[in-house]
Amino acid sequence: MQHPETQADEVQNEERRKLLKCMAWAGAGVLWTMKGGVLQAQTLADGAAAPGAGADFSFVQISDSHIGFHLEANPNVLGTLQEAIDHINALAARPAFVLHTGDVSHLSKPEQFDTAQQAFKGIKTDAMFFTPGEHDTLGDDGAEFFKRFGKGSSGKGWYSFDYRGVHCVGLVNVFGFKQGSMTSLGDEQLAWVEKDLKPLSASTPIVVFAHIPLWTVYQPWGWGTDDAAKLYTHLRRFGSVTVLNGHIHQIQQKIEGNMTFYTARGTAYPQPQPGAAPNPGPLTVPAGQLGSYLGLREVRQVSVKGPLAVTDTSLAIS
Amino acid sequence: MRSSSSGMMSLALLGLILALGTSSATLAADAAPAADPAHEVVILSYKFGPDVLTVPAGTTVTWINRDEVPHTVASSDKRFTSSPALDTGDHYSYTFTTPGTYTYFCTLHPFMVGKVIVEAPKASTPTATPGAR
Repeated sequence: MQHPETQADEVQNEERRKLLKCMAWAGAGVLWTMKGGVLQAQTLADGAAAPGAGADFSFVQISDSHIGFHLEANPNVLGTLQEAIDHINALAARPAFVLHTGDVSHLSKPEQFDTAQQAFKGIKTDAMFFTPGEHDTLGDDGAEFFKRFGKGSSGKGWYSFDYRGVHCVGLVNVFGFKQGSMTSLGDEQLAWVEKDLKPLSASTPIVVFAHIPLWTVYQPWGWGTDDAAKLYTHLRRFGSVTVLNGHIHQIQQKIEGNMTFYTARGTAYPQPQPGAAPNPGPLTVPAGQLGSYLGLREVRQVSVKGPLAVTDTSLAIS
Repeated sequence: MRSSSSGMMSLALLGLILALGTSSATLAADAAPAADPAHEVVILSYKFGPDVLTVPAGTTVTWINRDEVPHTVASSDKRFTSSPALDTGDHYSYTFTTPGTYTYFCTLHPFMVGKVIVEAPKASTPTATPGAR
């Protein structure tokens, strides 16, 4: 039998060990580079790649801010969004633009969008681009969301833009929910994508972003898009395709030919890994560790002909 | 805590619906009186519980969201009025008057599926009727 005090000490030490391990990982950060279709990781700590070094330009992806959420997993989602913004503003290279891949709000309420919009105004960047999450389109098909964040979009919120030779396509996959299956893009949007990409040469780097993963991360939880394969038929001819999504509040990645898929951490709360719990949902992590599960992503366009370099930064880095 | 404005809106909506008396669907926050547990579906851990509920015609079924994320109750074939997004603690009620099987799902998490089976009222106990002569 252990003395209760000793036991308590041990539990505390174990927690401390876990925390230190976590902080070491988070504090180091990971830089993802892609070479010949192979993803390579290196720590930022070794100084081999200072953020922004040698890049033509960079941009940042943030996601899943869930303004309005207030439960145990994160009672201060505005605070953690603000932390993400502080990280963006502290980057060595000012990002050309910031993408938000959806779930700005938790319940599509005007005041939640207003609070988020106010916070976004503090980001030091030239432009922001958005795509809605399913939490942004509750009850009004996204009317309040698009009023604030949907400028220049067509159809049900999709659009594209070009930045220094890179073609960026914002897609919407939160209107195609059908009973018992994953969401979809829909034929109207897919036809638009085909037309949008048609004039481009195969050497144009393509960035596609949408809220829900455009590849099947975990079908039983609806973490995928039913008709994504139809989208791939329009993307396959391009030499460099980077697909960025949110929704699942964690980093997952996959390479398929010239297409590389990434999901981002959220700024609000983590979710379990696919199948690691009976169901998805807000994950409450030990006190002091939340920042390690939240974060933002910096994408550096190293050269127009080469692959993009992707760096994920957790909020635990200070 | 729910913001007081949304709580007020829910109550206002409830009041409006009761005043009109024409709709059988109601939405209410935690303040609403508890429903009969036999006619209640609790939404917890991304599941409708029970997923199959059998009730006699004329029953008001109440769904309660006990999850930390919003859910909806949407009729698969649009045979009953779908709920708005239910935040944690929100209730939604619908009175089923016509016998049949009503399948529904959560539009935010379409793998969540449930069913309400509405049975015809039981035939009343036969009573002696004077035969016509």
